[in-house]
Amino acid sequence: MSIASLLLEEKKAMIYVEEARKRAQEIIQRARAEAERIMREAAEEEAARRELWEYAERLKKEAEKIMSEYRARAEKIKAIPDELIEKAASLIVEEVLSYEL
Amino acid sequence: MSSDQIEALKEEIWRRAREKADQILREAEAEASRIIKEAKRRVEELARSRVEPEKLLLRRRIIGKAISDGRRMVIMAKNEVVKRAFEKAVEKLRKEAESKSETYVNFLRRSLERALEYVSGPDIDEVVIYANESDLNLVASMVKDAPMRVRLEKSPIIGGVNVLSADGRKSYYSSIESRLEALKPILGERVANLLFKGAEAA
Repeated sequence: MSIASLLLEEKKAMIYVEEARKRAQEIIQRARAEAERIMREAAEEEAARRELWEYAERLKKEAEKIMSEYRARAEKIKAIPDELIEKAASLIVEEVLSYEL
Repeated sequence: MSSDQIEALKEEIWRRAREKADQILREAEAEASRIIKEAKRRVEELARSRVEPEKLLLRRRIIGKAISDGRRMVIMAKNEVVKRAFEKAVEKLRKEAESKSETYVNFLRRSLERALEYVSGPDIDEVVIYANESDLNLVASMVKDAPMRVRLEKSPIIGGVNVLSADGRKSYYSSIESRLEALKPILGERVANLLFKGAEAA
């Protein structure tokens, strides 16, 4: 072993670090490329249309839920007991014949 | 320099090299992650500025329509029930009129009084009273002392009377049908309150 072998190891170590730098550059370049791809896709009309279509589909499901809630309320109203209708009819009769109104 | 010393120096050279390389790669990964995150943030921003207004319009159109259709459905259901109550009331009124119940006869008398009071006047010497055929005798007995000439005519009304001056200038509608029609807005509201009280407003 000699100083020369040390210098050789030093050189190998520098190459090792240099390779790490190259890999680092590649990582960053890949990231930039990915970022550009993301930006490009977002800029496309198709992506916006797709997003709006998906949103509209979600809204339609929400709308159907709202409608079924109202439908249930309407059915409940229509199923009002006959006694209550009778009571309302009596009120009408009383008012028509009484001349109070 | 002994071989042990040289070996130790080599180890040190590699330890530092590995440490440096690891640091470079860690920083690169962090930078890559920042780049991607920034791109996604910009995409979201772009989407918000471009798509969000359209989403808002879609929401207003689709959800707004559902709410408005739903409310209409509930209102129609309520109207249907109120209509049933009025139909039932007409049945009851018809029975009252046919049976000549005390309540009905009182109603008929008051109808006549009000009608004659409204239609009569110094220039009115004859009136025509329209009533259901089954009420004509009753009406005749009620108006026998009227201060003007009275002509009775049968009419296909449920009950009550409609009175016109013979010259047609004055009229007073007090049949059951006329009163029902006139009172419908007020009664409709009262009936709805009775039927749907406690229920959530549509």
